Amino acid sequence: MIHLRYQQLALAVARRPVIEAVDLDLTGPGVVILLGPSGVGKSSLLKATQRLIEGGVDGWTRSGDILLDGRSIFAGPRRELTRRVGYIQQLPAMLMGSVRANVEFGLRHDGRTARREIRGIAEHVLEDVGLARELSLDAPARNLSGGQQQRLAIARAVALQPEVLLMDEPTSALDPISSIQIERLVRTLARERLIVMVTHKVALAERVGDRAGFMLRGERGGRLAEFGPLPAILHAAADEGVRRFIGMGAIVDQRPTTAAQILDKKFLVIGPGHNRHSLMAQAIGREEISGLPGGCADAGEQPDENAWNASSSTIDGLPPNPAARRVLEKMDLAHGGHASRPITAEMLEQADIVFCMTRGQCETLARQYPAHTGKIQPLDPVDDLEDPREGDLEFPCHVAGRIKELVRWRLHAAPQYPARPSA
Amino acid sequence: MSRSSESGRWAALGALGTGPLWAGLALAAFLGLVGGRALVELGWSLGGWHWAPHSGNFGVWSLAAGTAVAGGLALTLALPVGLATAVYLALYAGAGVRRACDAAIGLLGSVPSVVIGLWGMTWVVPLLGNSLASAVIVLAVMITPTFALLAGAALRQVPAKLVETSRALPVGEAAVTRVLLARARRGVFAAALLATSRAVGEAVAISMVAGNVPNWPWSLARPFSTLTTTLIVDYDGSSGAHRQALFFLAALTMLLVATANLVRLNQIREEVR
Amino acid sequence: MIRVAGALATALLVALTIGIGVDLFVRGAAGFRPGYLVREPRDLGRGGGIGPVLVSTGIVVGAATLLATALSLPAAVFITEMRRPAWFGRFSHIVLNIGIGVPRIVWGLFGAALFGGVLGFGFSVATGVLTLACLMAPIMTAGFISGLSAVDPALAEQCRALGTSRWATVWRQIVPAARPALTATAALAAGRGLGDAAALLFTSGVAASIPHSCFDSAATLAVYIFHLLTSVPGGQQAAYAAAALLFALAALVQLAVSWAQGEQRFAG
Repeated sequence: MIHLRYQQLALAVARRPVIEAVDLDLTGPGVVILLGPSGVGKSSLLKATQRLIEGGVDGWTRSGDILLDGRSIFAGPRRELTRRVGYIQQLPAMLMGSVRANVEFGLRHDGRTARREIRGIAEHVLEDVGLARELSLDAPARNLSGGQQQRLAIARAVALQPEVLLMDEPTSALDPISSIQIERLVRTLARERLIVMVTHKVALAERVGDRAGFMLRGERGGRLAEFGPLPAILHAAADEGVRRFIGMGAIVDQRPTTAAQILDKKFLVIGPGHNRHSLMAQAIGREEISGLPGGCADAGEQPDENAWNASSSTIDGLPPNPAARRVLEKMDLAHGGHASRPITAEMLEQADIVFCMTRGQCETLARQYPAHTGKIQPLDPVDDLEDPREGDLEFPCHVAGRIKELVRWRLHAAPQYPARPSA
Repeated sequence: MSRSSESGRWAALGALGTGPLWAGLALAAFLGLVGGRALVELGWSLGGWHWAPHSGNFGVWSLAAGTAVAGGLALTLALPVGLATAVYLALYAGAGVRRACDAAIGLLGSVPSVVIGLWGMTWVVPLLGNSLASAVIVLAVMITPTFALLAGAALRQVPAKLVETSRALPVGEAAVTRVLLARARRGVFAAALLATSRAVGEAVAISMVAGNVPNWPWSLARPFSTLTTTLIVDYDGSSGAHRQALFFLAALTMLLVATANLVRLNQIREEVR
Repeated sequence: MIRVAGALATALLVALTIGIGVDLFVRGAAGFRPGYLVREPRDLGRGGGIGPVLVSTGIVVGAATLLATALSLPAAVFITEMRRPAWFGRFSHIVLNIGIGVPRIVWGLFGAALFGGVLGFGFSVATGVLTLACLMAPIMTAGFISGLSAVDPALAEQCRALGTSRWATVWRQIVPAARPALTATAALAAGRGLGDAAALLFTSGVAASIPHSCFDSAATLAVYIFHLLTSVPGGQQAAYAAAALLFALAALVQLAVSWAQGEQRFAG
C-alpha cells in the first residue's frame, strides 16, 4: 500500500502565490487524476512532489509538507526520493544517443544496478512499453515520433522501479492513436504503482482514472476544489466551479472536427464596444483577410498592404477602395462578410454559436437577448480576453493572434488548449 | 558517486575554471602596476605636450588626441553607414538579399587588420597620403561591418508584430523606422560602444597608413600617431624610461576601453531587466 | 528615402568586400608560383615561398586554441552551473566582457612582459601561444557559456527527474548537446587568432623558419605580412600573395562556421 499525502502544501514563486494550501491523501496502487484549467498550478504541484521545485531555489517558497509512506520527502537527500518517485515531463526531453542509451543512462548513474544487468533491464522495460517491437533500440532517440518519445520517457522512468509515477499531461500533444496506447500503458502500470496524472481533458480522466482531484483558480493561487472517485464527481460535483469546468469540457469536446462542418456554421465574434473604429475589429479583420498563418507576419516579409486596406474599409460606413474589393473577391469573401457592426437581434438569430471576449459581455448579451442564451459562450473558457488599449500599437496584433489561436483550437480539433503566454 | 567526491570534483573544476578570470585579473594587475610605476617615476613628463622619447619627453596628450580624433571621425563615418545598412537589411531587403549581404558584411568584418592595412597602403595612401585622413578611412572600414551586424541583430530582435502594426498604419516610412530604432536603441547603443572600443584599440592597420609621427591630429593631411600605433612602432628596442612610458600608454588605452565597455554593460543589463 | 540611403550604404559595404577580395587575389596571384606553399622564403622574404610560416601558424594557432579551450570549457561550465554566490555571475560577466574588449596590442605587451620577460621565454612559440591563449580565452568562455545556456533546460530537468548527479548531467548530456555551438565558438576564436598580428609581433617574433622547439621564435602568417610591409623594403608584392592566402583562410573559417550553423538551424 503506497501512501502519498499533501499536508497544507502551498507554493509561491517570487512572492506570487501559485498553490494555496492543498490537503490531499492519495493511496496506491491506482491512478489519480489532477484536473483543472491550464496555469492553475497542477504541474507545479507535481514537480514539487519530486522536489524538482524546492523552497529556497530560484525564488520558490514552500510551506506545508509532502509525506511519502509517512516520511517527509524533504528530509534526506533527493537521491533517495528519485528512486521511489518518478517524474515524466509533458514534452519529454530526449537524451543524447539511442533509444537504448536513454534508458540505460538513468540506470547507469543511479548507482544501484550492476553494470552487466543494465542492458537487460533496459531491454525488458522497452519491451514492456511496446517500443522494442516497433523499432530498433539503437535508433537515435530524436527521430522518434511524439507517441514513441512519450513511451520512451515512461520506460526511462519505470526502469528505476519507482513506486510512484508522476505524469504531466502525457497525451496532450499526441494524436488519438498514440494517446490510446499511452492510456493502456498507464492502466497496466497502475496495477502495481500509484500514478498521479495531470491533465485538463475530462474525457481522458474518465477513461483512465480511478479518483480525481480538481484544482481551480483561487485568490491565492490554485486551490483543490474537490477530490473523490471520478464517476461520482462527474455526475454530481459539489463545487460550482468544478461543475462549470466539466460542463465546458463537454462543449469543447463536442466541437466540430472538420473544416466542412465549420463552414456550415456561422460564427459571430463580438468585439468590445461594438464600435466601427474598434481596434479589435480592425485587428481581427486584418488577421482574417491577410490570411497569415498563426498571427502577424515575420519581420522582413512585406505586409500585404492591400489586405490591410481591405479590412479597414469593410468597416461600416466607409466605402471600400477598389484594391480592397479585388482582394476580397479573390478570396471569395463577400464585401461586408465580416464587417464590424453593432449587434442586432437578427445577427444573433442567424448565428449558430456566438463567441464573446469576456464573461461580462456574455452576461450582458444573454440579458439583452435571452432567447439566444444557449448559443452564447466565451471564446476562451478559462480567461477573459482583454480589450485592447487605444494607442498601444502592439495590442491589436497580440490579441488578434490569441483569438486566432482559440478559434483554431475550438474548431480544428487541435489537441491542446493554447496556454496563455505568461505576461 | 558519493556526495563528497562530487563536491570535490566541482571544487577542482572551480579552481581550473576560474583560469580565464585569473588571466583577466592578472592583466588588470599588471597594467595597474606598470602604469602606476610609470606614473610615479615619469610623473609630470607624461603630462607634457610632446611625445619625443629620445629627448626624454613622454607627453601623452598628442597621442591620446590622435586616438580620440581618429576614432571619433571614424565613428562619424561608420555609425551612419552601419545604421543605414542595418535598417535597410532589417526592414526592406528580401530574405535572399539579406542573407547574402549578411554573409558579405560578415566576411568584411572577419578580414584580419593587417590585410585591411595592406589594402589601405595600396589604395588609400596614394590618394590621401600617410595621414589622419587615411587612418580614418581604414579605421572606418574596420569597424563598420561589425557595427552594422550587431545593430542589425538588435533591430531584428524587435517583435515582428510591432513592425507589422506600425507599417499597417498610414504613417509613412520615416515613422516606422523611428519606431523600430526607438525600440532597439539600447542594443544599437551597445553596438556603437563596442565599435568605439575597437576603434580605440586598433593598432596594426592604423600604423600601416598613419605615418606614425607624433603630431597633433589637427590636420587631415598630416601624419599622426595614436596611443596604440606608438606602442607598435616604439616597442622593439625601447628600454628604461621609454618602455615604462609605453606601458603607461597601454594602461591608458585599457582604461578607455574598459570605460566604454562598462557603460555598454550597464546598458545591456538595463535592457535585459 | 531611408530605403535608398540604406540600400546605398549596404551596396558600399558589399562593394568594399568584393573590391578588397578581388584586389588581393589579383595582385597576389603573381606570387603563387608552384611550390609557394611549401618552399622557404628567400631574399628576406621578397622571394621564395612561405612554407615555414604556414607551419608556424598552424603550430601557434593550433596550440593556442587547444590551450584556450582547455581553460575556457571548465570556466564556462563552472560559471553556468555555479549560481550560488549571486554576485559571482555578474562579476564574471563583467570581467569576461572587459577581457573580450582588451586591444590585442595590449595583450601583446602583457605577454611580452610576463611570459617573455619575467618567465624568460623571450621571443618564442611558447610566449606566443600563451599570449594568444590569453587573448582567446575570454571570447571562447563567453561563446561556450552562450552555447551551454542555449541547451534546452528541459534536458537538465529530465536528468534531475532521473536522479542523475549534476556532474554527470553536465558532462554527459549538456556538453554533448551543446557540441555544435561549442565547436563553432572554438573555430571562430581560432579564426581570430589566425588573423592576429598585434599580439604575436612581440611574443612569437618574426623569424620565418620552422621552430625546432617551443623556445624558438616563429612568425605566423599575419605577423609575417606585417613584417614584410613595414620592415622589408620592396616586400609589398610578397606581402600581397601572403595576404591573399590569409584572407582566404580567415574567410574559409568564417564561412564554414556560418554554413554549419545554418545547417543546424534546419536540422535542430
